[in-house]
Amino acid sequence: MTNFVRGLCVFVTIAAITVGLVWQPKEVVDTRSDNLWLACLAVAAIALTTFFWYGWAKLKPNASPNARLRHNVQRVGTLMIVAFVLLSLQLLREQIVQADDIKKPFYTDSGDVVHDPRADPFSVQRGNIRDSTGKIVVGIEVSPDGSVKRTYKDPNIAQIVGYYSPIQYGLSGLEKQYDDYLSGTTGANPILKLQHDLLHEATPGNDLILTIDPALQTAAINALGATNGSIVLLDANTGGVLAMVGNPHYDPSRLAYDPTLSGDARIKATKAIGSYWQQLINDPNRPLVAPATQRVYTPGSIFKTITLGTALDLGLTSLDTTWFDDGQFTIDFHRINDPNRPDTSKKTWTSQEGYMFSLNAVFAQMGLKIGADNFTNYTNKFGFGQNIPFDLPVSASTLYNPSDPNFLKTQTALTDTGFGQGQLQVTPLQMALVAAAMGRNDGAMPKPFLVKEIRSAATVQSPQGLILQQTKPDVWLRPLRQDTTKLMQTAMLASAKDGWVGRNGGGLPATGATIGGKTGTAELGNGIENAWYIAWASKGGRTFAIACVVDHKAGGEGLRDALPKANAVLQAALAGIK
Amino acid sequence: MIKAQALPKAKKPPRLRRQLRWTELQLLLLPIALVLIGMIIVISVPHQQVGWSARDLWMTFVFIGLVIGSNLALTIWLPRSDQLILPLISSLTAFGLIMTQRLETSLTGNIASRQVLWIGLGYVVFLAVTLGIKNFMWLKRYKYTLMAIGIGLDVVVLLFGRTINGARLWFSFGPFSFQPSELLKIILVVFMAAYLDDKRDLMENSRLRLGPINLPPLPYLAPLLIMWGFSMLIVIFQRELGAAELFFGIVLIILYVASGKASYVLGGIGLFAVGAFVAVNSLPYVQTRITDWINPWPVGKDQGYQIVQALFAFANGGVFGSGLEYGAPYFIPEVHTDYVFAAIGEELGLAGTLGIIALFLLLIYRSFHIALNTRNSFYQLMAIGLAAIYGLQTFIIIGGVTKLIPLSGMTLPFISYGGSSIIINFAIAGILMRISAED
Repeated sequence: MTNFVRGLCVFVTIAAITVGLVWQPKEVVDTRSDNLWLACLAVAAIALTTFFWYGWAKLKPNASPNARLRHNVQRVGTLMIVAFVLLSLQLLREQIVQADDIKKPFYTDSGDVVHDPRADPFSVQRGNIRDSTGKIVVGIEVSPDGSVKRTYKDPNIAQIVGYYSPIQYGLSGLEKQYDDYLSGTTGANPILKLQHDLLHEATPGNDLILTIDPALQTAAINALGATNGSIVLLDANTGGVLAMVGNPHYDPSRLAYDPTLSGDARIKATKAIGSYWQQLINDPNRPLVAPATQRVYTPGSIFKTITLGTALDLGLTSLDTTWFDDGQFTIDFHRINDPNRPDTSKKTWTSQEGYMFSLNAVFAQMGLKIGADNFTNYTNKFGFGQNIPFDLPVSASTLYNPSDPNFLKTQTALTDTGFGQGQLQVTPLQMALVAAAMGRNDGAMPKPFLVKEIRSAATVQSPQGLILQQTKPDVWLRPLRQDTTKLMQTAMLASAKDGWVGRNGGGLPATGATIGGKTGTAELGNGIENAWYIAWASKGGRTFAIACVVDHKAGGEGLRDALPKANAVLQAALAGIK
Repeated sequence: MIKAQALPKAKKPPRLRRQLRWTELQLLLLPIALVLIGMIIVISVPHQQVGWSARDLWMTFVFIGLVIGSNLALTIWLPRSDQLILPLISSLTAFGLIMTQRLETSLTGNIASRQVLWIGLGYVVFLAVTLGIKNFMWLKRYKYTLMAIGIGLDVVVLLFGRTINGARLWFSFGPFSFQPSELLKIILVVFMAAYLDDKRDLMENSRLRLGPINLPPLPYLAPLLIMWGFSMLIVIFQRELGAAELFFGIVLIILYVASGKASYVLGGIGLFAVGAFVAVNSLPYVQTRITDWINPWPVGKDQGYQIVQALFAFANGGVFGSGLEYGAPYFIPEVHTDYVFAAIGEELGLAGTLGIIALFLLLIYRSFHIALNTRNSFYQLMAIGLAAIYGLQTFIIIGGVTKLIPLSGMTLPFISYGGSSIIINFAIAGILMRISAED
């Protein structure tokens, strides 16, 4: 019995210590909470004490005072040993096992950075961020004394990479996501790194090469202008992001600290950074939240693409199914107006015509037919309710407000959702992915990416740097069957050729490309609208997908506000393709 | 019977044969090499903040002289005393000396030469206690007087003392300040040992009952409750968690060793937990300590700054450390006193920190060994109590700076910079040495 208990205690001790040292869930590493480890140590301490307790010889009743004392001292000594073992384990963890995690900067909720002053971030030759042509977008400037400043050479692209403020406000975007590579802690040639470490030299960081095409990015910036909203252009076949712009945005170069300044100039520059930061975090428009990936907008009629796709995929309708629409549709005393009919005398419309002319009454009925469960299933298949796997932080698009789980139980909610109102909230990146899935012949939704390659810093042996990591195009989701996707392409083509989009110059016949698209105008009340356009364009073996949103515009309309902007970008993209 | 008669004859020691303390002398080579190599590194590495030159090796030679002198004095006047205590405390002191030399900056003032002065006084006190006091039994007679003096000192410091870093612990005499709680811990051990040794025979007969609960006999209960109250007063008025933990821990350990009843200790810990709970909920400074312990990172720029910097230092240490003078421990406030262990962790690595922990364990083991080898029951309890001071104080401060337990300001025995701490710890070692020579 004694041996069993002692064996068990040894086992528990070893298990608790091993679990405490090895098991590191991500949230524990992020919050730096030691509670789990301390609990494991407490368990180990109790088990170890029990182990010794059972090991002590029993005191005889007639033992001499000296034997009694010896016995008691033995126990006190054991407790001391257990206490010192705990100290040693704590040191083992802090100095070896967890040391690398402890040394990383910690970002507090209030935006402060707690960082190891030994690791001076301004002595690291941080890697460059380059566009798809290899030109440097974000680089460094090394002063003679070895201090390094982050420099921004292409403001058009710099707005999406995130800011770098290691000792003041932390890192964001790609700077944060790829910090290990950029700072050179990961990915460097191990022999070279050892050599640098031994000589107490900083290892140069690695370069990120983006998928962004500078010409298309510039076209997108010019198209969007100062309007609030966003444009996302994808290569639908790979998922690579060719252009991504948004308003409001911020200028990371104004948050870049210049370590080469000294004295009054440094104080002045630091104050300027501080006041810009205050301005950013106090701005009610929240410029730190990226429009393309983190903001959600009501989709309006572009959501009819998902509604029609769902109904076709489920076999609830064909493109030729006819629906009754005389300009309005009433259900449960809820009247839906349909001002979009091109011919007010016509009262029956096919599904395809409904899509081409964006007929709300048709899609209200389609929404009823689909029902809540199918809406949930299919929006999930399209990627709603999940974070898009991407190089930048994303928000999830949602079918309805998660705090109102019973929303879709009513018929009016189903009709509203059918034509894209209801409680729908989507990100521009999400809708660009929907367009990409529709534009691809296999119906697959690509996994989007922004970083094409990571290369090590140039050396004499390899002036281009070595490729450390290369993103392989991948499929994220398969929302619709292949045959349904073909039907959707027919409907979208018809919309861009003969529907409202086509009648407003959406098909871009001059480019010679095959284009399918859909506009949307989401009503936000008080005469304020979101104008949307999503489209795909195929030419010469390439397929582009685009989403464009103009946010909160009085009297905004997809055809008038979003379509021309998206077309300008598509024209630039298609221009060079034979 | 024949055997019993023969035994004392065989054990009779040879008459007054002077023996050299070879074991001790050989072991002393370690601290001597340590200070010598350490100071040479401090002088020769160009990272230093202070312009050390070869002339500053005088400190090292003073230390070496003290160590060898102590060995000689013991050889002449007390050759049969323990031979491990001096090498152990000298090794720890050697670490302390090289760390103070390494951590001296223009901001700290000349801490290294002051530390040499404290160490010198320490060795003098050590030898004076070891060689000068033939007998400690008089301490037993004056136990209440001693305790009254101790508590009186503490009350006086509370009323008139100087506040340093939020804790009111210090007396100032011109440029020097003295911390009476350092002295109080020895007085407490002497008192508890004397008191429990006297009351030993009474224990069996006195039983206390509170309803259905069997309470410990009054001679145990009284000091437990009084010390609990006293510790709480220290926590509330002196704002010093560490001293309260140390005093209460000493009382529990001596009580346990004298009585053998683990239930008294558990009851005492329960009482302390109740007090701690109340303190956490009502005293803001205790609350701060607890939040800094649970997770200092979110407040790592203000109240958690010190502990977070210490964690950075430990993490940068790795297995063998950055090397003496090659780290950057200056980022930790108060690094030469309470946080000296973090500087050791950074520059000497896990090897250094575990080495120091091993030295402390050996010191405690040796003190227990001395306690068990003496026959006088008062000395036994006293030696155990003194060993408990070393053990508890080391655990409380190392546990605090490594974030194993909530931090409470304390010096690391023999290593931290500071006069009262060094002298008192040497005095404790002196008492242990004297007891080891008894038989």
